[in-house]
Amino acid sequence: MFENMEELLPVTARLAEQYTSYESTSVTYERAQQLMEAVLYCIHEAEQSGNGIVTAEQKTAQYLYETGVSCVKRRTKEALELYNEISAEFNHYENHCLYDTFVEGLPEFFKWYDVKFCPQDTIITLDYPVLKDISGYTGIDKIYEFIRCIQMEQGFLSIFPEDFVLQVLFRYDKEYRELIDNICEIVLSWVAVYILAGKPLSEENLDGADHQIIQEIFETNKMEDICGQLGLKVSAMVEKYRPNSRGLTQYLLGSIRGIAVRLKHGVRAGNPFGIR
Amino acid sequence: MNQDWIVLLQQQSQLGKVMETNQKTAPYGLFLSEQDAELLIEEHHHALQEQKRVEFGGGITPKIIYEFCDSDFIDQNNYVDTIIKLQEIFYLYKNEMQDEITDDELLHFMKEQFEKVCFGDLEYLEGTCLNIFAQAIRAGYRGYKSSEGRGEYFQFDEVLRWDYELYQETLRELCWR
Repeated sequence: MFENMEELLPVTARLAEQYTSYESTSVTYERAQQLMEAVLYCIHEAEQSGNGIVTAEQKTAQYLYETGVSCVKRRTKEALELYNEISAEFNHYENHCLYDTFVEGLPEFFKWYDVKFCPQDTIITLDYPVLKDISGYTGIDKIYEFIRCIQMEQGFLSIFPEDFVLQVLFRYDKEYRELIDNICEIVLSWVAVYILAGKPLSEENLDGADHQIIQEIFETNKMEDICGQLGLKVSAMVEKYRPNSRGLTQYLLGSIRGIAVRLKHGVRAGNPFGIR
Repeated sequence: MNQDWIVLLQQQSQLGKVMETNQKTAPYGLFLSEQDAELLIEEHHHALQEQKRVEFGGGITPKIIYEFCDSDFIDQNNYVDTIIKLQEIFYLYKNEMQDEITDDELLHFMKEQFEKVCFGDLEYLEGTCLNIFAQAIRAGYRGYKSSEGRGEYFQFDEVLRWDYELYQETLRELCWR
């Protein structure tokens, strides 16, 4: 990142001239701030992508900025291609929040995203909560990460028949259509209970004896060991059913500890599934 | 983000460009000494800060000078003061018009009213002509884009400038008395 802001001034000034179509010699503080942030965002993109590694002669703010703009354009194209790829078989499992965010919201982002003058703006709020923390990202980076998360979730959920997923969601909460929760995590929690009970998913209900088994597991094992075991089983499942899903295992494992802790408390309360 | 960079951007010197305007204004009997030019630039920075705007490139002062130097209402005595006030008014109305209007369109509009409606009265230009025009622009009026800001004010003027009947009546009285 540039330490010396003076180097960025000519770049920002040129961008401001383009913004006003060379018809105004001044802009408001807010607009100038926005344009400076756009320059910094693009330079950051160039540095992140590795294209920022250049010779000393080339390492000017203008060069890095232009490289960054190309990176942002390429990223936007990749995100749109990925979105279209997922959309073909996208299933929102009747969840309104997922539908609104993915089907209604994201096209609006691509419609209004301003690569040149405001690439740092995420525009939409991405209400559907994904399992990965993407709060540190902005602009197209955040959108790309979000779409990648949805791609992985769709990959995981498609392992199961649609009816099964809907049934799990319905049993979790009868108002599952209105939930603003991650549906992938709900299904994964359900699967985790069956894994710990040692029962196949085809068994519709678990009885008191199964609850007892799970409770004993939590009483006799350390949380780390249980998480490790669950992680191994989930990894094996993903490896078996979705061998080519890049990063899916890692994505799911990120939520295993939270699921295990909730299960521990749920079993104690006689409600391992956390049914509402 | 630290806003020091905004201060840096505003510190770009425009002294040379302002002094250059003397070449064009000389035929109109207008001249800026180096002290005058420095004062104009200082007041220009104040106006920008006051209106929370950032300037880049050539700056507006030379443009204002070139636009107004042939005015019937500016002479060497009021030259510097008038340009200082015009700078303030210009930035105030760039904001009031929400940046919808270009520099040239605003300058054309200001010059035309300054000459034909205000007769050199800067307060009337600021408080009435530009105020009314800014309201129209905020309400969505965009007709000035095709006219480049010229010949616009008569549509919005609230004062009857030329009463044809009164003219006829006075003429009759004068001629047939």
